[in-house]
Amino acid sequence: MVEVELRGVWKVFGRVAAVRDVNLRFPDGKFSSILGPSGSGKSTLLYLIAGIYRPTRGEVLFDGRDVSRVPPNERNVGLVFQNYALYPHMTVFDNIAFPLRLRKTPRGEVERRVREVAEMLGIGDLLDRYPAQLSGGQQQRVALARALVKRPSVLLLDEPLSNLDALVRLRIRGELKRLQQELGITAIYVTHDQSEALAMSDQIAVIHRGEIQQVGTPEDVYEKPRNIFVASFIGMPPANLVPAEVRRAPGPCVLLPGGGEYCPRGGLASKLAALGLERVVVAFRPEDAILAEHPLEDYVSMEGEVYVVEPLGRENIVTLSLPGGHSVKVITQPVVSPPAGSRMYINLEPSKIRLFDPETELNIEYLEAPPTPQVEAPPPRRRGESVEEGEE
Amino acid sequence: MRGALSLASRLLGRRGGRLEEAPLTGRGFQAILVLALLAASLPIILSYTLLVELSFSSTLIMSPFQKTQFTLENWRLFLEGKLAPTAARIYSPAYIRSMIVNTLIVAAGVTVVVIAASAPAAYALSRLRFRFRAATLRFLILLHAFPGVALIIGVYAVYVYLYKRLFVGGLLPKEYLLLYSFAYVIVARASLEVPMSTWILKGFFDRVPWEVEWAALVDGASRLRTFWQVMLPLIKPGLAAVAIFAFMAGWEELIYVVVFLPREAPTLASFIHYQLSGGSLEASYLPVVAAAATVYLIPTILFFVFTQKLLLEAAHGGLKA
Repeated sequence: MVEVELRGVWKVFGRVAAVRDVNLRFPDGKFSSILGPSGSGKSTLLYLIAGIYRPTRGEVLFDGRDVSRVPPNERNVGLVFQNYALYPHMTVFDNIAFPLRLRKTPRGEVERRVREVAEMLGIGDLLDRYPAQLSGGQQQRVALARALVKRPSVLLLDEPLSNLDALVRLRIRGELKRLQQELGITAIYVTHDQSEALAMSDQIAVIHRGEIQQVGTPEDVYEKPRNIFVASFIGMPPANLVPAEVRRAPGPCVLLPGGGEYCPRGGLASKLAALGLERVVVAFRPEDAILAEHPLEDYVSMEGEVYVVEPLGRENIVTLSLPGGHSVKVITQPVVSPPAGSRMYINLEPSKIRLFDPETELNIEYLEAPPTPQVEAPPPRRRGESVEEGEE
Repeated sequence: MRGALSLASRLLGRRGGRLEEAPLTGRGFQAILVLALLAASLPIILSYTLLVELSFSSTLIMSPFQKTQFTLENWRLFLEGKLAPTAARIYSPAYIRSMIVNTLIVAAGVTVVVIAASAPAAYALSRLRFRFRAATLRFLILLHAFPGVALIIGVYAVYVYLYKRLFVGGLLPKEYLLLYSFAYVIVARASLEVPMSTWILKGFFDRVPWEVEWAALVDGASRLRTFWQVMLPLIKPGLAAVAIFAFMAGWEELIYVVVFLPREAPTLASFIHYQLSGGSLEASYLPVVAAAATVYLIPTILFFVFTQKLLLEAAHGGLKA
């Protein structure tokens, strides 16, 4: 297995930079995700690692060795595509055996290894069929088997679950994670589905418009979004964003629309004071707010008017509008169902509130950290250009 | 009005107002379509039927309603090389056979050359980015618009030029002249087919998702192997279509064959042509020529029967679009 690293990687198509100066490390034997909306450059990043694309600038390293100019057929990667990309004119057996036959593997060993990986993935009885005769989930397994049979040093997955039914997707999601752990293989998983990324990954890299927004564990990305994009992209529904004014004296306090006042303490307070911002963007998660008819003690409270209630069975999503026209969503118990037009208080625990600079869109907590979101420091082998280090 | 509509839709067993869409997809529409297509192709069907009927007829058929007697005499005469019962010229069975072989050589040769040239060209035009790619594509269409007859003078000039170089210059002995003529007819005729074939195959390559090609590359295949083992099998229906067109073009080619192949080495087409023209029409017995023409039809029919399945075969199983 190998550790994959991207150093200052750019990919430009014509005039469009699909990937901009990406510095990323995918740890050996771990499950890493690249998460981003469609068109964010996440698949391009994966194809750069696979060798289908060559970086316009920068390096792709496998275990410290620069493979930027190595063609895909010499990189020993396994790649699973969103549309499976099986060879329709070959049987399942021939599909899986294709990479082995290209390596002139002896006939007996081809047979043995194909059957072994097919059994592992539960498609041992489908080997004589053609791809068109299989269900989506089965085709997906064949694609996975074809990627795994050559014992790749890194397994690349390009939205492998997005063409599957919701139930099959949930099942294969679990199986995939289990398989990766059993094989101890380095896996890089591209997805636009945050729940997949959060559920499966050891590390998530959030990408937007070709730039890495944040790298961290699922908890980091969820609890401590580095900027407004990450906060508004992750979560179902995503974090609420409310612009607010800052009152400087005596200590810096955030004046929320709807009457609340939030005065941060400790490091955050001094950062806020040092930055001298007049406005900030307040973010909080819908599930972190408590809806009540009165302000709660020790909580920051905002008054809003109920706009609509969406019952989802396990919970309700209540949408409220705040003075100033902003709407926020709050997740409540299913029994909480205030009538539209009624006035309610949104109560927030101070520790759950995040503040962002409206100009740079960065989380104020992170602001003293260097500007690149590198989580791990690059190895000591330094080259001419500087690679900035992250704080963690 | 509304009552009548809802009554009508109830009678038709439908709910809601989707009445107006129904006839277009129904059985009735299909039946009308089939009838229209039959009517349009009736003249062709009729003339082929008459041709085949004539080859089994004891007398010359002059109208579709004429009564005639079934006989195999024409076929016997044809296969024995007796084109006219009274004609002085008698062809040997070996001559008839060699004529069929000549036709096959030209047709198969054109097919091979067309496929060999247009498949790689189409792949490049579909997959590679290079300068003047769009211009090349437009130029191909323009090339296709040229009729073969209009080019015959230029093609003849090249024939003569090469002939002088090869044979008068003494590069090759005279025994190779026939081989040269065949090769020249094949390449010249194939080159007329290549532009359109390239266009057709490019369309088929365009439909193969990039991911399949990438999968092969990542699996360890070289570009050439990917082309050969993955891309070509995936465009089989397109190859079949192009092969049929090329084969037919070679099989029914008359002008280039008459111009470049010696009269002693005719194909079926030029043989029928020689029988019907140049004053031999009176000497020919048309039912026997009809037998020759029926033989001329057979490969076309066989080729279609055997490749139709390929043409219809969905090539895109296993690739969710």
